[in-house]
Amino acid sequence: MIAFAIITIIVASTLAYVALNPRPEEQFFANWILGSEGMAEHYYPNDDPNIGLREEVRWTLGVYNHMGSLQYVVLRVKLLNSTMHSPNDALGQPSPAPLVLEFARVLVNNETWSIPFVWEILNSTVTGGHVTITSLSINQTSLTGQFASAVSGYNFRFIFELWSYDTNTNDLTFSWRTDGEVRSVWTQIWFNATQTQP
Amino acid sequence: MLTELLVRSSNHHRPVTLIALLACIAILNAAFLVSIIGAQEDARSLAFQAFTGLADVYKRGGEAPDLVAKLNTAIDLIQQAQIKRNSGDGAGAAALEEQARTQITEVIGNIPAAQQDADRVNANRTLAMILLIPISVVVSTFIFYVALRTWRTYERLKLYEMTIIEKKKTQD
Repeated sequence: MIAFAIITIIVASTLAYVALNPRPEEQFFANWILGSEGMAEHYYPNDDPNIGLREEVRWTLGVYNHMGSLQYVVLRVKLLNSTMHSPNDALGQPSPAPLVLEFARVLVNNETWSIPFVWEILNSTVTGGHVTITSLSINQTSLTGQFASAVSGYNFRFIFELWSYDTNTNDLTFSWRTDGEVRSVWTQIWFNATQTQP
Repeated sequence: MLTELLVRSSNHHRPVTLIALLACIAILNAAFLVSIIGAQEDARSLAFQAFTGLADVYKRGGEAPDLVAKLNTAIDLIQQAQIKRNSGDGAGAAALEEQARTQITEVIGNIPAAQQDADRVNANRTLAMILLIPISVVVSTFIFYVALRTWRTYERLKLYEMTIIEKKKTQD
């Protein structure tokens, strides 16, 4: 009887310890882009990456929080050409390209956030064979500026960087540490803006 | 006389006056921009402050989905305000930021209560786990004891029955 009681104590204590101290899971964010039908296909109208002026492109951006805690996330949208620097994964540094727009939200653990991203090129200029996008509409918000230019309008890309608020430094950060490694999340999608007339 | 002096003075110092006027405009413009950026930063800093408090609630083992939803609404308002400001609608942006600030202030005001709730929930959970150990030991031991007693009683009855049968056989 005493032996049984001792075994029961050991089993119950082990179960209680495991319940109170769950095994730490890998912490990560995920970020993705889906096409017009919410699938990983049909990213461009008629599947043609040559986007004309005032041609509407529909994507859905996704963010998943698996950091094991509440997170303040900011998805930063940048427009680059092929020669501008992408974010550096090894150093956890963001792209130096200027910010076009950002989306922010607080996510609980295991929450997925879907962001409709409907955009069109409103205006572009051609100078010396370079096409410069000067006006964009994103989610019915008009944005103007010298966003990026590309030779003959080929190889523009949108980069979506995931930033989160670090409560230790009281600032937004592009990278985080897990298992002693620097991690960061970003995605990109390419397109051409070869048609400068609607 | 005074007017004449002023006119003469203004004619004499026209370039200086012009520079002073431009400097005043520049300073006022900068002050206006600083106040706008300040308002934006103020709302954003408040949102970060509210988030830090909510993150602490969740870290303590609690949950506050209503406050998170309210903070998200405020963050949306701040983004809308930024878009309005970029399109030149300063008044509309200020109104949205004011709404956002009000909502965030409400969230911040509710955080201490949420933290207390989280502490209480966490304490109850720990207490339940700690109580689970002696309760499960007592219950398991009791069940084991009852089962053992029942088995022994059954064995004794069986032995008694066999003894009676044995006696009957001997008598026959």
